[in-house]
Amino acid sequence: MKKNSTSPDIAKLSFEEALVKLEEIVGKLEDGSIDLESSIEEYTKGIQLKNHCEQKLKEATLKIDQITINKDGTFSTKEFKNS
Amino acid sequence: MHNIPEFSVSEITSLAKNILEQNFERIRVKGEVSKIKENKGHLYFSLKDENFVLNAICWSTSVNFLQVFPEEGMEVIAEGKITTYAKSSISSYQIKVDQIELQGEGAILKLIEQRKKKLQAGGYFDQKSKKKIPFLPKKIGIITSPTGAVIMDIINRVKDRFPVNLIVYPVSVQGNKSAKEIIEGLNFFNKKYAVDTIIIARGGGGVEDLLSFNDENLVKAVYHSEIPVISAIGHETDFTLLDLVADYRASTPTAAAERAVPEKKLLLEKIIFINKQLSSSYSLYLKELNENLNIVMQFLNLNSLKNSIKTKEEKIRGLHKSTNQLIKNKMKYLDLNLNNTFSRFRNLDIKQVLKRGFAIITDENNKIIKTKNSAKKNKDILIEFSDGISKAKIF
Repeated sequence: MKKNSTSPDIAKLSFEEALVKLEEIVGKLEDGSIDLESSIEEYTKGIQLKNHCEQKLKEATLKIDQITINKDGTFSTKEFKNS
Repeated sequence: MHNIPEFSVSEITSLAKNILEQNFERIRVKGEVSKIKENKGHLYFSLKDENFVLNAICWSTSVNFLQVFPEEGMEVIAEGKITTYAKSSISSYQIKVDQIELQGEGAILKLIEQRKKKLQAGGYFDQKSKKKIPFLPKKIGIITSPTGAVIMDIINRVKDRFPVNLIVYPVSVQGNKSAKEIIEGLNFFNKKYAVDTIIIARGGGGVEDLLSFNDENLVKAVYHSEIPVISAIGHETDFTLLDLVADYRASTPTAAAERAVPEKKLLLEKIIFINKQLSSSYSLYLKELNENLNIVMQFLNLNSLKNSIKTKEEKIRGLHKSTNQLIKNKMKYLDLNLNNTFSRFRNLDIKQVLKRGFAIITDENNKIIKTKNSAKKNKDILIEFSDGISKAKIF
């Protein structure tokens, strides 16, 4: 039941926040400071965090726009071309 | 007297005008700016030196083309023509300015230094008001010239490291309009087109070329920007007031791109690494847990439990043994006692009494007749002897 509630929380995290949390989980598992039941939860959360980080990296694509300010104060965007 | 020429006011005004305007049609005048006033876009000020003062005017149509916007105390070279003015209660001459330059690098540096002190005192360069540059921006606004190498340097570096959405806001990077356009760019990204990071960039240049990046209003606009600003002006050695107010000062446009985005390749490697760490640390965790469990089990089973059982068994066996002994002893004792009791009891047995010659008289219902009164006449009775029972009748 906790699994379902953590997913939206993770989705909100930035890449670096997710990475920090992931490192914390690895730390906890490494020093064995958690009990078996929460270790399963933490591991599952760790996998979700890892997927989230990967997703964040995948999302990024190069796109270059150039802004033009029109005479009436409005603006338009077009693809950037270096002239 | 008659040798002295005589003119009307209009004639002499016209002549003076012609002489001044024809002889000084295109001149440069060195002086310090003072008493500057703006009215309807026109600038009125004075140029002065240690002895004299010259009125100056710059019409709004020229103001837009000024390389340097005059400020109080600024040592400038004003370019323009001498004109005359003779209306209402005034007759005078002045310089109509259409271009202003600072008096050499020294004057520019002096001006920048003055501004720097003033802005520093105003807290505009305080480290504590610096904003954090986002680690992984989705959109980066770039305020720079859309032509030339600078924008390409940034684009290429971003492309190599971490491709994201770049939004180029084109501005002129020198001249008097430059600072104003850059400020408009900052406002644009802050109010109309949200980005995560702003880069203000320009290639290298002389002190005069970089003047717009020392503009007081630009410094204030960067300070008030809600979006973090990276400055990348000129080369390593060029330092501007923009660099001081920016949240991060990159020495070159390429360095700005490097600060703006992380390296995707490294991040992917990091995730792969940490994912391995996650699984290995978890399996190690489970393995250790299992080992711990085994140790505990072993301890429980072999040592603790077995020993405990063994000692209990021994105890039980011991108890059993001594109990048996006790029971046997008790039994023996009881046996003896019982035999004794039994033989004593036998002595009490009626039959033994009968053997000694006594007899028991009962009625038909086997009720013992103990007295003469209870022995009714003509009733059958039974007499029990030691060797048998005989019937009899009382008469």
